[in-house]
Amino acid sequence: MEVVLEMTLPRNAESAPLVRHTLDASLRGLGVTPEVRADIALALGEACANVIQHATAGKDYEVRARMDGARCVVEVIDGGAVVSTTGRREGVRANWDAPPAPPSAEHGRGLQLMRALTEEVHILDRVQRNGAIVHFEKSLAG
Amino acid sequence: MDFTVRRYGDRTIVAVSGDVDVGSSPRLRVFLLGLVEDGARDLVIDLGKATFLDSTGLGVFIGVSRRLGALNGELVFAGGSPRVREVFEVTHLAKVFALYGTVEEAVARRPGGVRTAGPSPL
Repeated sequence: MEVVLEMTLPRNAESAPLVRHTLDASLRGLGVTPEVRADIALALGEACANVIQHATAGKDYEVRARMDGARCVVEVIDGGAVVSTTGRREGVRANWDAPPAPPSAEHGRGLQLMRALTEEVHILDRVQRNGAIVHFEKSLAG
Repeated sequence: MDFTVRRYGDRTIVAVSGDVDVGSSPRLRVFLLGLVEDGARDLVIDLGKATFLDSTGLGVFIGVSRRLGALNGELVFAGGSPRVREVFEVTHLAKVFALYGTVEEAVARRPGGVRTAGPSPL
């Protein structure tokens, strides 16, 4: 059985728990173990946090998740923004491509967590739409 | 996310329950810095009932720890599910912060001298 979830969410902080819990409920329904579900929830939360924290207020973002018995593929799509100053997008990339955060830094650990807990973590720029797609996958085999 | 605050002498224990994430972290920051503003210098964060912790929550803890460090105070942690503790491990913050198994251990530690190993507080 394959399950596909597509959510369009407002870029506010309350959307993050909503999308995490929605995906988690689907994974639970597929019988995925709590450990694997927790990895996916954290990676998804980090991807959403990145979008939300660099948000232009009032714009939406999308989350697409595809699950079958073997694999969960998630994309968080931050591409619907109206054009803003270019500096904002450059700031997002700089943040996510930076080396691991020094111990005293308050930011910069989201990608580190995603890469540690999931697979195939990619960030695809959407230059035409002034946004990015954060992609990750996770084996559901446990 | 909810907080429960208790005091043992000079030590302030803040039990955090629920999800600590991009949605709740700003409230956590305001709350903890408010305690520091009111004079708390020795904070124990009890993560025993924290159901989720992400990098935004870690960022709050680091910011509060730096603030306390400037005031000769300290922030330590107690409890936490294997998942919550893994977040500290993956980000290498388990080497920076003192994580105690229980609140009792965190409270009973020697005043001012916390760890037997590891780098200085932030």
